[in-house]
Amino acid sequence: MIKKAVDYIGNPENSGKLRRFFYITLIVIVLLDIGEHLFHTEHPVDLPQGEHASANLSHKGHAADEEFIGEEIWGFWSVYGFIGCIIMIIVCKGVGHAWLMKKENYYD
Amino acid sequence: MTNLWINPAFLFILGSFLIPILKGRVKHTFLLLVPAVAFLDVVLMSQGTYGAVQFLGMDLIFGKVDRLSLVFAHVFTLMAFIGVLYSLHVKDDGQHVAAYLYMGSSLGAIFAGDYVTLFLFWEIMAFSSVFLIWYRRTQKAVNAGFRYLLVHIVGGLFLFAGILLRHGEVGSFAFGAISPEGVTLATYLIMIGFCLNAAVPPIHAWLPDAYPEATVTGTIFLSVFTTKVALYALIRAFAGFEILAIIGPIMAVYGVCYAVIENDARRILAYHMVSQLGYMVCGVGMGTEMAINGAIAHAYAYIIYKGLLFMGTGAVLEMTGKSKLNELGGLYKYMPITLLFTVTGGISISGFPLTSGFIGKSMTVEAAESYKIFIFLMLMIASIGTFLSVGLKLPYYIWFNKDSGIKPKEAPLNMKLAMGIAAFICYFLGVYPKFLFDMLPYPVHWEPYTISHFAEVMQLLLFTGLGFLLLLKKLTPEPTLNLDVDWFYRKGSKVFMWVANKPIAIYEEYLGEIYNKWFTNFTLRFSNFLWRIFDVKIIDGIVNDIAGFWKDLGGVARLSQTGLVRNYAFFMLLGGILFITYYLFK
Repeated sequence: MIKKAVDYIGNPENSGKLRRFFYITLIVIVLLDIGEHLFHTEHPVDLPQGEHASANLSHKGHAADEEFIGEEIWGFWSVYGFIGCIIMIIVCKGVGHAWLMKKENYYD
Repeated sequence: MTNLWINPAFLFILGSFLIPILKGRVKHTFLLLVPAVAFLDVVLMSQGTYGAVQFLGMDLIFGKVDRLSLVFAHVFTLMAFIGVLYSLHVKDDGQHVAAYLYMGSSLGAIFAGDYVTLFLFWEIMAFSSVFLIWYRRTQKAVNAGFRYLLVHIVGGLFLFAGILLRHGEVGSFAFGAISPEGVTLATYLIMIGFCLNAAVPPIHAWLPDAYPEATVTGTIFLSVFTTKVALYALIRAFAGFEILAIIGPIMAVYGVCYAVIENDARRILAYHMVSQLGYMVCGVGMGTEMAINGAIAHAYAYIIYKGLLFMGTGAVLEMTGKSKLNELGGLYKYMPITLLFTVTGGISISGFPLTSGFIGKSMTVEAAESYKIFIFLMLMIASIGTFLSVGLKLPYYIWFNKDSGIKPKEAPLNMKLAMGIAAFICYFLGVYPKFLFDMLPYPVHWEPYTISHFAEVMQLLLFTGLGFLLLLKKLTPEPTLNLDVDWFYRKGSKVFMWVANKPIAIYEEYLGEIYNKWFTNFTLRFSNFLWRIFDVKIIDGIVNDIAGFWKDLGGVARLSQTGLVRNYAFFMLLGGILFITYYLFK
């Protein structure tokens, strides 16, 4: 079963389908975040031991008025993740090519 | 001593002596039995102080058992079992012995209640672990092993100096929390000693230099113990030191940046260790209950999933002989199970929901949010890099991308089992975090499974995935070597060699003389003595086995028969003499 699933994912013919599925997931997760902001569910969701969460602390473990401003913006972490990833790849590879990357036998 | 306490360290250390004698199934059973017994020992252990010994007027405590040492011992013995299972097929007895001594001394350090005991085990760790590198038997491994040893000896000297100075100041060797107020030189020396083993930049380069050169199975052990013992020591002594809270996030980002450009799969993971340790060091520095809990929960989860990742890439190295991403690719048809386990490690380390990263790493990150926002944002950047380099790049270029034409078999059964257990624990902790939370030193007032936490993590990770997808071409692994601060001692060693060749050569003769006279003589007499006992009392077959083992070990040890190691031994001896003299005449 594992082999079948892995073969399906690895098969180049299915890459289009997988990509579409991935994009839909992205949309769903952003919608979830927007919904969370609109309805502002501070309560723990119904998952194991959800009920035990401390009553006088918010889910972050500190008072709500200290919240980071980014937490208030819809889809903030989507943008942060995307831009962060792009910048990281470009900067690291850039610095690498300009300076850090040497031939493999550099120290020999 | 009120009730019976068995130090799990001694189970491993004594057990290591039996390994060369045993054979076949008995040996396999024994190898697995010792960590299993040690694990039970830790689970059943109750808190308290045990094993207090008076030595030269010093109070040595071998068993300081509290919630902090217990949780580390718990995961150490658990991972010891998994690691031994993974390496069960290894024929080299020496590797098993080295691993056992290494694991034993790590546990010894965890339970040490004073600096002398801690230092003793600290040094055994360095000297036993280097064999896990040397046993790879390549010239690269030998050289890397020497650098590893050299760096750790220097770190050990810092620690040693700090311990002595501290004793002069406070008059005791007790190992406990140091107050962030009124720090002295001694405090910093000890901190440097710990930080070196925790791979804190700029004294981190030994880790990505040496770990990827170790044997396939040796790396699993290496990835667990040295750095986590150092983390434990930092938590014990330096909780609340703000400097660590600032270095931590720098480490976290530094490590992932190298992981993004690195080509060797195991070196990616090694660099990534620096990054993950950054989270934990940051947690120690913040010092709040939640942050300390977070650092420990992260360390617990991390030991398992980093072990799993090294096991996955190790299996690929074992089956294909390759670990460089540019030489691999398209393995999904041949090693699907290893892929599944490695990806489990990858998503756990990235902190996906239902995995241990979601409940471990996140706690430190959340603690950082209420501490300082820029630290929090840096840790988030490191999370992006984590998923990018370990969750996506590593599996993609090994198992997918182009077909490299390699057609390996799936990993052997014991490797798959070990990976399976580790993968199971990753999910188990993610689904049932209470198991881990109940072991932490402070009560946990934090609920990982909230919609906002879920949405935050998923957005961050999935949009990182989008960035990866779009810039896939830019990320293509390149067969290069990346400069790091080890440049200073790798290129700088040329200068050192000149000094070593000219002025020191004069002393070298003198040192050699001492070595021959004392050390060699002693070894000869000792082995002579052993030979007599064994010859008289134990049947010949066993003697032959032992001889074979020592011959093997000798082959590896021969690598160390250069002037350098003799010099280290000399300095260690000198240090020991100074140390004892100080106590006799102070």
